[in-house]
Amino acid sequence: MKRYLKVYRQFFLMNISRLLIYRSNFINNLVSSLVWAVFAFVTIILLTGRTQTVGGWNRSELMLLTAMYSILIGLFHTFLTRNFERMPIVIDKGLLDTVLLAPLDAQFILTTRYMNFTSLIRVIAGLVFIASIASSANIHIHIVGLLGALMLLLVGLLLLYSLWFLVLIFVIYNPQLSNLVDLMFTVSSFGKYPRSMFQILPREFFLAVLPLTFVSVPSVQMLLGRMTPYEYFGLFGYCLVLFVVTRLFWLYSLRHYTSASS
Amino acid sequence: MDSIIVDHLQKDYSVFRKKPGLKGALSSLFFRKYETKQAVNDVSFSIGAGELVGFIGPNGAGKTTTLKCLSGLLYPTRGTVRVLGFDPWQRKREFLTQISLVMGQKNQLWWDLPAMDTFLLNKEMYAIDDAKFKKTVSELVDILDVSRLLTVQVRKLSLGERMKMEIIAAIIHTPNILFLDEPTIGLDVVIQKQMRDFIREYNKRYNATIVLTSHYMEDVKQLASRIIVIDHGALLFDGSLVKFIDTYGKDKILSIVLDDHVKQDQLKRLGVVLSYEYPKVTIRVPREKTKDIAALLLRKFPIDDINIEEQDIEDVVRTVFSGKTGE
Amino acid sequence: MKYIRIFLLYFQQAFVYRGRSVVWFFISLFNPLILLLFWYAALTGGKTTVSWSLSDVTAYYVLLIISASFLDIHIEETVAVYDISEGGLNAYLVKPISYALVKLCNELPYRLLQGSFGIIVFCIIRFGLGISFSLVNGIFEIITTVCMILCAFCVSFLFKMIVGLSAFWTTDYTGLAEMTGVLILLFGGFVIPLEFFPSFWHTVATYTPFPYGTYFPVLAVEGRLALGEMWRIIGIQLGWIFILGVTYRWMWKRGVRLYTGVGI
Repeated sequence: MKRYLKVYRQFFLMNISRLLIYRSNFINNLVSSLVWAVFAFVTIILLTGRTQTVGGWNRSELMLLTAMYSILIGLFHTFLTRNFERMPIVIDKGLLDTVLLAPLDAQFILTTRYMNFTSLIRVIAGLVFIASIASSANIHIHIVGLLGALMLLLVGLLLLYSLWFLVLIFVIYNPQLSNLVDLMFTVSSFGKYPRSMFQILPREFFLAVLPLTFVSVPSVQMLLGRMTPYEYFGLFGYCLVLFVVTRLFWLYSLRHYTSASS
Repeated sequence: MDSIIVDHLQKDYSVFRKKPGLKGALSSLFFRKYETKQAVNDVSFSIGAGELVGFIGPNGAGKTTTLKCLSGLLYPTRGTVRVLGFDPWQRKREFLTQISLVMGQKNQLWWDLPAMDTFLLNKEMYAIDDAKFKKTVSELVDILDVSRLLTVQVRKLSLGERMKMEIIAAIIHTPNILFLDEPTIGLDVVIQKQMRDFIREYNKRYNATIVLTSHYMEDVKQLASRIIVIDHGALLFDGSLVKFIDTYGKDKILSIVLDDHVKQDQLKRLGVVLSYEYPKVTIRVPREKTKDIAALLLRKFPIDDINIEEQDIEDVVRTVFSGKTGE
Repeated sequence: MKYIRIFLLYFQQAFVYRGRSVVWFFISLFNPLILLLFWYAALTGGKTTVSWSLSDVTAYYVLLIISASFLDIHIEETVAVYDISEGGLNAYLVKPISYALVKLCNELPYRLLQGSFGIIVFCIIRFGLGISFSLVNGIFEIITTVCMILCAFCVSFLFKMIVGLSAFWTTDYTGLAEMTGVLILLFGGFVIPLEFFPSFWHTVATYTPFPYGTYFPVLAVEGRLALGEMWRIIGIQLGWIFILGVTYRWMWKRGVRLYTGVGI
């Protein structure tokens, strides 16, 4: 455990160094993260510009959901996304070999070594937006709700991690599918809409989309005092099961891994 | 006990055949014919601690596949592999900390940062203590003469400099077993020699078992006392270099210094004239007739000096792999 | 003709990489789908003041999906990453061919392949599910719509090539790519029809090339644009093609000079 922390610390330092070496990229990435953050808010503002309620959620609550999603996706992009973006190249070009040869869990190295700190701007934007919506819409946030929401946010993060990893493992079976990353970017954005919106879908599609509705919706429900303990703990269990399933699939898929010819 | 034991190793791949042209592409949409390719077919050998073994074979022979089975990167279709008593596929930590695989074209160094940062990362991964790390880095950096490059971004290094840094990163934990896949590919002759000297030194100093694959016969000649020859996935030969040439070298080379001019045609009757630059001539003759031809030359021609040599290993290998016995 | 041969080779490649095409298609499907679900929820159970009916909104997003599959160009990654950053450009620079035309041959098969998925979806919705929506009719209107679609392709293609060429000057082009991606989503009508925008922003959008890449062609296919309006838009598209074309050439010339081929 200690070794993993030390290695993670080294990853952290190396990513900071990388960030500081390329100043033009730093600005470039910061601006683009800010642009995506603003885009998410602009989208919900445009959509709710002429619509007061959707699926039982009013305009303020929908914006709160977007803000919470912004925090979640900001953290996800900061600590995890870059690794997933590189996964298809790592697998296709046989660079997974180096990861497999290290005396550390390959999933750990593969999914955590790269970071993108400029995405933290989305976290900040989300927090600012939550504060402003909460005050303008007179939404009272209690400390219990806040802490609970934070826990559920971490659960949501782990859930999203498992989903991305589960999908990207398929690149081992078909290395040309590098655009699965783009698919996951698109599909992840389902997380900023209420679950009731998806109930119109046929059952199979709804079940496929369902995990995404647990990514940030529960945190907002917690914040608004709409979460039951049953749902709260159920989510933890659901997240754990998904993580274990993903891990087992990963270990199984490694047998199919054929490193590219040298 | 031997460090590496390979027993009836087999590794198969599924390959799909696509006919060329648009018609082939369209038909591949509906019908795909998958073939099983045997990359490694029933290979068995064992390697003792401290041995330096060369794997040679043409492209696609199965050398890299074998190395990857030995390092746990590929799961054998059949057969067993034991390295240091471990099953490589299980990739146990105790196993991984004792081995290293260096592949010519693949890098583990972080591209945008100086190599030292990756060394520090590997230090943490392999849990090397500070003192040992400092000592190892300074030794390796000295031998390879790259101390001034430690703080230069990897992307700014030349290929040779990068390869040196890759090697250091790969052996920073001083592994007992080193797998080198084409370590000198693409490097200039000076760096190639430096790499060879380094490999030899590492083998001697740490008594490390080294298995190397290479297309450069010079690598094999200089480093390996024992070679394993693989062709089309099968083991062709396992033994010393000298024995290989003895077994497969169909010819010998006669290096002659003439005392007087002799027509090339006359010499051509005795063997294949490889070079004719008066007074030096080299002729290739069948192995079993060497003594007779040499005696004939001394009797019938004005010879100042004659030398009987083995064929160059490149020629022997080429002959073996092309399946021809003549020119 | 060598470009036909090149196109056929890329077409074969697109077939081999049909898995990628399927994924791209789903990507272009999901964005409008989620918005369609939003509007469905808003127009059936929620409270809204939008003047379009559910079938108007459905028609818009369905046609958006199909047009996106034909017109949503993805060439910028190939240009920026594989060619410029990783040195693949070397192979083109030593050959007597136009880089832009080769990239066009590279992209076209994927658009055709995905466009065909789009047509399949349209057929399923129109004939399978029996949902009908109004489309452009009249021979002149149809021809003009086709012209507009072709111009839209050129606008999108040139723009994406320019984004890709930015890699000559920055080692991480993804920042710029994402920024422009967002602008395309917003001003290309992928979030909501520009008609629903506040008027100021609607005006701003029409001064960018983005609506001319997908939004106006979709309106044209829906039959919402009069012939005269269509020709006006084509005129603007031609203007953008000129501007983007000149920019591309300028960037290409300067970029190649700056270019350092990365070795192995």
